[in-house]
Amino acid sequence: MTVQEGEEIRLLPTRDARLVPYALVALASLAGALVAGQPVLAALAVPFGAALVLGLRHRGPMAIRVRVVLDQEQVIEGTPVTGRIEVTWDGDFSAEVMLHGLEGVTSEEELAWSFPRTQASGPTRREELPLALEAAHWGLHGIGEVWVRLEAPHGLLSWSGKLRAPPALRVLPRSERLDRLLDLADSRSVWGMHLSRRIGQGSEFAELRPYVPGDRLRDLNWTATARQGRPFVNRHHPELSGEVVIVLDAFGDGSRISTETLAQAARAAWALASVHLRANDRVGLAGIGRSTQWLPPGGGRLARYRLLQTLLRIGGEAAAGRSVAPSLHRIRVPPAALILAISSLENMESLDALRGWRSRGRSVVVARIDAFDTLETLTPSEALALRLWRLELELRRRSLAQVGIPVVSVRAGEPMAGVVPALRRVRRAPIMRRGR
Amino acid sequence: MILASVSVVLVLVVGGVAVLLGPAEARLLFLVSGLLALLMAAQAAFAEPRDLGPALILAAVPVMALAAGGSPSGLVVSLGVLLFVACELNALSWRMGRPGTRPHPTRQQLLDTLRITVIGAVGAGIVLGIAVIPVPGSTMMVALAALVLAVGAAMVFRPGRQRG
Repeated sequence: MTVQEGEEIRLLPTRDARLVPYALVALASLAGALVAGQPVLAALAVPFGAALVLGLRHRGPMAIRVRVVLDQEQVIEGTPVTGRIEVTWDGDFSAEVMLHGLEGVTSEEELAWSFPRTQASGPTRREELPLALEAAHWGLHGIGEVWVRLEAPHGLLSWSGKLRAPPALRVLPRSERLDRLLDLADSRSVWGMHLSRRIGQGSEFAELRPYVPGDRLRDLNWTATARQGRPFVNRHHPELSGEVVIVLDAFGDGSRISTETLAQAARAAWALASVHLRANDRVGLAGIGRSTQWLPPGGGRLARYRLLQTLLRIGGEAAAGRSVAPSLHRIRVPPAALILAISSLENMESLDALRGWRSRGRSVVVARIDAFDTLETLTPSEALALRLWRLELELRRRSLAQVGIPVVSVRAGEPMAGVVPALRRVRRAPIMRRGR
Repeated sequence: MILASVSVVLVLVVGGVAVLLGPAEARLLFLVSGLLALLMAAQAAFAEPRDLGPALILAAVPVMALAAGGSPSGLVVSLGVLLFVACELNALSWRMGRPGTRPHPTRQQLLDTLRITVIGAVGAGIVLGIAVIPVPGSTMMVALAALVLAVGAAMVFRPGRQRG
């Protein structure tokens, strides 16, 4: 359960549309009575004057206390989120509350409540407004803004304000099932699940060679020894861990396709990171787009939490539409790390970043998410534009392949389980370069 | 919708009465003013901006002219109260239309509107009664009385907190 301290919002008054006309009619009537000598005009001013006096009794700032309580701190995309908004205000006033600008969550119900003043209202009134939401977009979210409005009886003034709930809801991306690892560029001398090309201590058989003093007796291959008449030992590939940096392209334009593409990329990133962490690899995460997020490679349970936090920050900023100038120089990818970029290849800045890393000797592979198949029926001109855009993307894919960056495409909505084997095949295939 | 429609009808009634019972030489002016007031009232009742102020001012001009022209005091005050009720009903209808509100006014809201209307009508009646008294400088006295009465009635009849 997430409970935020109740925050008192100080509301400033704004005048109702009736205030000025009432004042004009009242003053004009009184003035007319004096000038024209018609007492009946003074009588005309009484209703408007009384309304002004009553309606302006409360003129100063008003205070209202708002507290957002969520029953869950962490949910997975598509799961319900429940909670409540607690509001406390002066009982002499009527109140209207609205939850506006939902971030990361959706709701089928109208999130607006009205509390007219009642005769039974005490000095202070407190209401609990139920929230029934659904987590829609991964990231770290504050669910939205709480807008409040107070009105006094016969109010010619109203008091309104808003409170932005701080980020308190973590929406995790739905995890894709992945059970295969990528080949990593190099390996570190820490035990893990990757087979190194080198020969050393391990369980995977590599070769036979004659025994030399110093070899372990347990490595003796008795069958080969009996056949050859001299001792032979088994040699193995050591199981070592490696480093992988997942790069998430968050250069979305806020459209539905862009949002869905980013969501699928996040799910894939989380799945890949989880698998490699379980294999004792060191995993880093870089988000490039509206802002630059960088988490150096790390391993273990702490790295998992940090990866999640970074992923949620990327998602939260993408959902909120916040934009900060990218600073790619902050991303320092280790020389031996494999860069796995999940990108739609739509933004040239992300392509330049990938080429830059490749030019500095990093191993880079790209999983491209194709979301355009989700488009509904297209007009002929839209279909032509889409064909031209696909040609452009194909050109970009080839330009990356020419510099040694293999690209594998995944359609939006398809499971990412097939990406890893495809990337492994592509990485092992010889790169054909055209001579000039 | 009903409240908004009633507010428009009240503006129509006030304008129509002013045209029918006003002096012949001012009938055209009253007609133009009344029509404009009616149009603005209809716009304020059903579309943004929800400001009935311009309609009120345009409709009040013929009423004040009637008073200046010596029309019966009761008629003038009645028309003034009707205009006031139209403004209050318009404001109440827009309050109903905001997100999260009920589609109909609550009992307390209707009582509040009735209270202020009664205060205004009774106060206007009292001021008219004072105006009947023939004393020197009666107009000034009436104007002062109107001010005092408006303030006093508002203070006496204001909605108060529940005691205890």
